[in-house]
Amino acid sequence: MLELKHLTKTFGRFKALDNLDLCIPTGAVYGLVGPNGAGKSTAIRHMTGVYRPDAGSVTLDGEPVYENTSVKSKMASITDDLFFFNGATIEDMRKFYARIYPKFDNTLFRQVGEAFNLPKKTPVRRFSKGMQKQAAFWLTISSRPDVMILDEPVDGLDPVMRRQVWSLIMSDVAQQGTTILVSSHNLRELEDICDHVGIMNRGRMLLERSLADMQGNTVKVQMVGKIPEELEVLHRSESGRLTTMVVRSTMERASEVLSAANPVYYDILPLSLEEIFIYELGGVDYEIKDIVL
Amino acid sequence: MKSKTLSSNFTIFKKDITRFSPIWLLWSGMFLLMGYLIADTSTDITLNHFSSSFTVASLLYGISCAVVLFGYLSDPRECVMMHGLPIRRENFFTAHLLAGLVMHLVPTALFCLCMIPSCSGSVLALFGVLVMQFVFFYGLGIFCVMLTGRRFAAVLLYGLINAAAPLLLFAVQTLYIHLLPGIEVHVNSFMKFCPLMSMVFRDFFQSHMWSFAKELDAYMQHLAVFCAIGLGLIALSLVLYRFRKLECAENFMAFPGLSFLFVPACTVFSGCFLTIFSYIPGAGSYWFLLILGGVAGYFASMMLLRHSPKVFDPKSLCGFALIAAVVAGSLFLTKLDFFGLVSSVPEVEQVARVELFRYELNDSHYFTEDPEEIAKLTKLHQDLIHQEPTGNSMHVELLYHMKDGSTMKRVYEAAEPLHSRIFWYFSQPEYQLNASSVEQALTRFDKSTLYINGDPYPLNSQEQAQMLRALFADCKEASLSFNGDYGDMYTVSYEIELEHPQDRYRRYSQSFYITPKQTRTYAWIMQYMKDNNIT
Repeated sequence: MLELKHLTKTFGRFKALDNLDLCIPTGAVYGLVGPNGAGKSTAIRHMTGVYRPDAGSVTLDGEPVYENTSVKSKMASITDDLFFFNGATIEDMRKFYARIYPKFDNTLFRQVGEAFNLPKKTPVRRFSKGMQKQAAFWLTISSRPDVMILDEPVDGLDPVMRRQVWSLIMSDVAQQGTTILVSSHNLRELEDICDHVGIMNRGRMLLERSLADMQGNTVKVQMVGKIPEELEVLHRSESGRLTTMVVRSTMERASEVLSAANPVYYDILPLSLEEIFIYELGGVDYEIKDIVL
Repeated sequence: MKSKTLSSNFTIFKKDITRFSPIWLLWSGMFLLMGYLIADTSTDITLNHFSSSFTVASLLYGISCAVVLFGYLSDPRECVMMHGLPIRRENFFTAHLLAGLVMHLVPTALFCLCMIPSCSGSVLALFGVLVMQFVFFYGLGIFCVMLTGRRFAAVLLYGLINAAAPLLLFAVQTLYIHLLPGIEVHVNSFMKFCPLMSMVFRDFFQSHMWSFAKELDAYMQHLAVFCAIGLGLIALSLVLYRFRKLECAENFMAFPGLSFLFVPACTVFSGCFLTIFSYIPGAGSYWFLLILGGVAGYFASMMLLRHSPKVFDPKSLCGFALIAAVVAGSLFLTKLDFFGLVSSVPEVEQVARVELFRYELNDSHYFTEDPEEIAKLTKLHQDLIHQEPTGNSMHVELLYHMKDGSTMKRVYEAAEPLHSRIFWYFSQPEYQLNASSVEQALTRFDKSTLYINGDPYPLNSQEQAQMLRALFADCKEASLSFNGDYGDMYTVSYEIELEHPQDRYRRYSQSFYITPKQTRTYAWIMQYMKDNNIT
């Protein structure tokens, strides 16, 4: 289990992380989401042992991560801003990683290489952004880590390659039980692969739950008639007589309440992760403005 | 089981050697060129010609190695990637440090081996010198990289530290010395703290080199001190690395507290630098340029720290005002002679000996241990302090040797009313002959020659003794004017030349033109001519 407890980090006068609590169960695929500047990348850098927290702790199975080579050798990451040595080809990077990571798998490296088909003799720095992301992912997954931390792993990849990458990730989870943390703005993709989600805002964790729980606890209701007071409405809009609401409730409970209210019409729909993200943050003054051009 | 730590260290070490091969290839190329030039018998080039170049090259190579090997700390992407690896900071540091040392040691060792035929035995000393120089500069380079967040900042800081002594000397001379008449800054005292100057001018590669001369031993000890400082800086750098916050990459300073040193230093030095141009007509007055330079230096350093041109805010202006107030306050206190440096004249009872120098090309000077004469000189000193400046000045120096072993030196431009008093001292035998007695003069000068109408007549020991007694007596009467008074030169027929050894290789000679004014010496010359039938 990868755990962040009461993590605080300040850059000058700016508090990037404010008493952040985060828990990634072993074997989970955890989606870390949040608006720009929420502190996701900062949290990820603490998880990978790059930053030293001002307060709090980062542990993997109870052992601290910072400056702990035995723990860090079980972790590999793809950062949002990639770095490769100047003039190094993918083969040079493979040799480097193979000497650093104890469980580096050259066989897997060759297998993944067949799927990605990247140039072998061109320096990685000369690849396009998408190709560099592929190269980073190729090296990361070949390191056979117990924990993979992926910051925008499919950003810049074409749809086919995106699917390929997700497929490799899920295959790794299924076969190796790898714990994955993914940070991405593409909530639709995350919804397909994550089983846990954490929503961050302003350095704090707003909401952290399994996806099933999250989707089970928030529903969309469309109705015509008087709105029952028992419903906890997160968001409401009206179009003529039709009222559309986002309600914090289970589907069964909402159905029960609406049946009792006996409106002219009602329908209960599951919410997507994207809708949960928008409405949860809307409840904490993250204003979503309708932009009209 | 193979140690992963050692494996990781070796991986980083090997990566450094291959990745930064252009650097050590350049260093090797330099040695190759030197070796070729030395081996080429058609030129007269020897190792001696490169003694200064080695130090300069070590200075440049030291910071180059430090910046390339540890420069990843300045690049946020590389910093995050490297520190995300399962490698401890100490291991990173050790691997990079060793890579830098190897990048220097191997080419240097090969060069020294090639120099064995050229150097008769002391290749080890040459190797030791090169290594110790590099260890200091490399350690300083790493230290600068650890203190800063950008490569440019590291190089700038490295340059400032190496030039700190001359810069400080420059600032003191520009700002304070003109407010302290009589006080002279000991340039050598500052320069021995400048690593480059301290190492470059020790020209141990003499033509008779490669014997273990005393000079070489002293120089090696001197270098050993620098080497120890370099090792200390390396150890300190490791500590700084442990505490360094990696998010400071791309900040000018890695530790914000250092800006309190950097900004005032830039303000003062740039202000002093601009005053150089006060001698150019129309450039502006000294104070105008000082303030202008200070303002420019202050805001330029703020821009570097903030990485933004937006530094003209009330807080910054308060900072500048504070620095200006401190500098102005120090100048004011100096002008008031707050510590009594200018007006300080020692008590006669405290003084063992006084020496009075004039700005001359020879090394002679007036000296006395007589309390009465010392009292006269302290009175002269007081008059020099309170004199009014005139256009025609004479440069004089007073050096007091105190009874407690300390010394006190003062330097003045003596005004015209004091010239005659000073001339009297430089007519005395202590100045003219650098001897306080005839016996001392006889032991000092081992050869004397009398020139009569240009013809030389070497004097034997008895004749020399007689001549010196006469000369000594004329000095005491102040009838022998100071060396350089050649007013009667074209009418003088008689010249006495005195010689003495100055050191192992050089001799010094002193000449006196004798006219009838120098009654006793003139009389002796007449007697000599009569005794030797010279017309």
